[in-house]
Amino acid sequence: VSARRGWLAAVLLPALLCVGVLAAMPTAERGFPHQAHARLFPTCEGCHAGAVTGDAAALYPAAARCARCHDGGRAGRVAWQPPAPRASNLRFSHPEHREVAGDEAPADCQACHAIGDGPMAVGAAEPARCLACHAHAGDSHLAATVACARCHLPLAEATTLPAARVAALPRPPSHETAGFEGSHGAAARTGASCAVCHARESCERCHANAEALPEITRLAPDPRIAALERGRVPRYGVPASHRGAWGEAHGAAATRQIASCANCHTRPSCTGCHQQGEPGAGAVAARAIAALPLPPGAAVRAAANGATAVHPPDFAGRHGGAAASGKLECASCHRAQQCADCHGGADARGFHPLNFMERHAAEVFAGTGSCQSCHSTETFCRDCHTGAGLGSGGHMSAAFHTGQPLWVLTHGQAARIGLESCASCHRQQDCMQCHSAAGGWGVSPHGPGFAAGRLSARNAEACRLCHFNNPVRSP
Amino acid sequence: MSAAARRALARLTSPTSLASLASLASLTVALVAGPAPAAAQAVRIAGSTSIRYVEVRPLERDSLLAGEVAGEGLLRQMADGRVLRCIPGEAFCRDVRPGAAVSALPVIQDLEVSAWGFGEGVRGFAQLRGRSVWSGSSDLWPQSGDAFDLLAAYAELERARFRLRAGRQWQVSGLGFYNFDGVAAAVRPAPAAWLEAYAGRSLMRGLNEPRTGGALAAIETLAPPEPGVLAGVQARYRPGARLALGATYQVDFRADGRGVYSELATADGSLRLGGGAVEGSVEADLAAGGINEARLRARSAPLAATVLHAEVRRYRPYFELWTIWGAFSPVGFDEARGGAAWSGDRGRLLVRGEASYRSYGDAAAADAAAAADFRTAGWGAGTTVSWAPRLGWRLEGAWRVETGFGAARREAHAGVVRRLGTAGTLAVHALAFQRAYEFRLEEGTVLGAGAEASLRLSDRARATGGFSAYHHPGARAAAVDWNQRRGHLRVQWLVGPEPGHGGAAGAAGVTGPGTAGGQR
Repeated sequence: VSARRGWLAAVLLPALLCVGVLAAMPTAERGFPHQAHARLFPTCEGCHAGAVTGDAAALYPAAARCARCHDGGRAGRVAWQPPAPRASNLRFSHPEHREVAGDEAPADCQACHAIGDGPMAVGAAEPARCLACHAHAGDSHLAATVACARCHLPLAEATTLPAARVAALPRPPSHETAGFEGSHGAAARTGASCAVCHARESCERCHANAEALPEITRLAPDPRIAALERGRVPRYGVPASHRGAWGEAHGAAATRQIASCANCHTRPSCTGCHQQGEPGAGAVAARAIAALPLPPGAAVRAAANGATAVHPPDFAGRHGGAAASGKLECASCHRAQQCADCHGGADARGFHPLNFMERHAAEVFAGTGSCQSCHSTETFCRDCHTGAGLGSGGHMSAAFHTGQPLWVLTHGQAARIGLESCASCHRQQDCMQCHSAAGGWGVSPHGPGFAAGRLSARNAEACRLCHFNNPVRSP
Repeated sequence: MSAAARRALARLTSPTSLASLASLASLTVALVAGPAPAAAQAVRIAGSTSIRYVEVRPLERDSLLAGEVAGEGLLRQMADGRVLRCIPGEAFCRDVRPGAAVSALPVIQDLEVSAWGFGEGVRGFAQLRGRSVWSGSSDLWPQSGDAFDLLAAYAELERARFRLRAGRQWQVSGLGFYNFDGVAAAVRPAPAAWLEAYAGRSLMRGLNEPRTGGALAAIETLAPPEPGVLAGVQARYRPGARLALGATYQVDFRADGRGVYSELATADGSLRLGGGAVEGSVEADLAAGGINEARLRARSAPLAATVLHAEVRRYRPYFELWTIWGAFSPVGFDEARGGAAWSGDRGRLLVRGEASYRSYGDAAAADAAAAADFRTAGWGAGTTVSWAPRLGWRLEGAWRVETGFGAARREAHAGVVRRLGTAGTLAVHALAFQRAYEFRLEEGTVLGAGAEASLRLSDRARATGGFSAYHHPGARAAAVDWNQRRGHLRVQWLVGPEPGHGGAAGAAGVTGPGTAGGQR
């Protein structure tokens, strides 16, 4: 038995080493005429000692060794140079394979590197040779069932891989499936495959709680990934649970699994509505919110993506008082621009529905929109109404108001109730044609209980618009 | 700021609208592509370019010989539905009717610039708006003749206990939104308290111009003779999670000291009780005396996935004292409103309903007897249904009817929204409505349909657009002929980093480093 083992060690092991060495050689080196040198180099490790020792520098012989024979005399000169080490994230070690083979099954270089018959008929190893022993669990290279780490190094250890190669790493089909953004956590917790393509910075872009998640912290940081991620805006998918009446229903979910919320949300996401870190509905414990990580800005991005419907359905029309009282920390989620979108004037698409400007009369009469919160009805409205032909121009024919006979004589009640509407088309002088005591017919517009003294005290100049002299002496 | 940026800023006050729009664009380019700021400094610019197609049939006054109008009485209706007013003794009957269609392409360019990193809590902020009309009449869109508006431009110093602002700024309170040129100082004497005082030259609300500016004089022959000075104080107090209180006093007086344009005060509060909340607010006109508006609103979720709300409200119109309207003794209404919202099917189905009733005050007008048929009460009701049968799809429907003093409406709306992941949305909708308002006889039901799309151009840019058309049978009898079309296109973008995220690193580009083919 011992003689047989010796034979194996003497013959098979060197052969196995040769194949392994050649497997690591780039394609361009396949042209080296191994078979022509068969009698000169009886063993593989004679030239490829690094395959035995693991020394990458000794994986190929020095060019000077060729010149011992190819000196221009005994043999013609050659220009062969050992290839530069190849940048790769493959997990392969010649010495490890040699050790695995051991004495019981000595490694055979040709087992992987043979390209023909004969001891020196060798070349680069094909991946299929790897799979002969290392069975691939998937039906494709990037199949989700494959443990990538069996053959590939973690990215942080593949230091020879340049940033461009890292950026061009292929995206597995599993990452394209619907809902992957929300479901990849389980895979991250159980498998090491993530580290083959990702580093800690990959996760930190979106995960506000990255420092608290072991599946992220166990990933090594990597400057190549950091450079690629810098400045990229995180992208948050909208979970199916967040649709519909999520604003009312999220409390229970937050109480049950606040840690899950922290994957995308930070404390401002909650305190934007729940005062001082406590909930409005009493469902979420304050300490749970307080435990959320607090990197700045993440809440802003989540809100901008429309990830959550925080406010009740009718909030847009009723938030004025809430915003004014400081009850809501609007600025924790909204930029000032979002206020101006609605409150900046005519181009108010965010607040008013489409074509609101042409359909707003009923709302104005109803007073549901509180127009005066943003607009001066006697100026802003009239500016537009004039352009649309609604400006009165001082006409007394009342031809527009066809719903009421004798409109000029009977408009008093309508005017007092809907005076804002009158002022949106009529100038003050239209009314003063009749109601001015100075230049009109002196028809008094003042109703019962009119506080003439109070108004005169505040602005006597306004009285003089209709009266020659201030009819009220200031108290 | 680069020289190019300074030149662009200087040109913004150019008298021509197109030049102002071009200057806004130049300023954007100069700020983005100009010299890189120092390491700790950064600029964020948000822009919005909006182009609309507006088609309107402006009202025109018309007349017919009285002998050509059949019938008798003050109001006579023609066979085609036109209603004319025929004053006895006059040779002509008159009416107001829609004229020929005119259209316009108003363009609005908004820029919001925020710069920080000049020291702890120091920030500069500006909000600019340029307007132009590329084609058609400039009268069809509000303020289209105003080529440039500086809505806000201020410097800010904010620390843990105080905040100072100087420049053109918005003051937001329970009184609404006020724009002024001046200073504002706020302190936080305690974590739960906020006190702010502000003063400066007041601007006309909605016009963003001084009271003596040309915009107001163009539409009102009795414009205020003097600029206004706005001053006010605001206090907020939140002693706990359940209670919030706020109060504001504000006066806008003539610069010559000969009176006030307005003097207002407001107070509001919110109390959270169990699963609900009670909110209240009151706004008083101290100049004319009386309450402009008072609200009390309660909200509760007594059942799972169900929210109920109720509100009572008193409202009385308010006018500034540079006009005569406040002396006309305006009266308002009292209103009660209630509704419910329910969600089912794991949140995919949302149903809302609301109803309201209001009673108008006694106008005590001398002609009340003659106008006894005027409505003294109004009511409204409506419901909305939203259903998401599967991910990315949403169906919406709404119906509403409302009758009030001087106006009434009835309308129904339906739509389908398709969300294309993060790429954008597509939506189509259809509607039908009837309206009557301004004490005018109206006929006809308007039918409309349209489509809208929203497209994500990048992580920080989005475009939206849409088109809708309306068909109005029987339009000849109506004041507003709704045989019209509308269109809009809007591009919104953001450049620069978020504060606290990488400083100036991302200031130069819309997106970060290239992402092609990479999985990182």
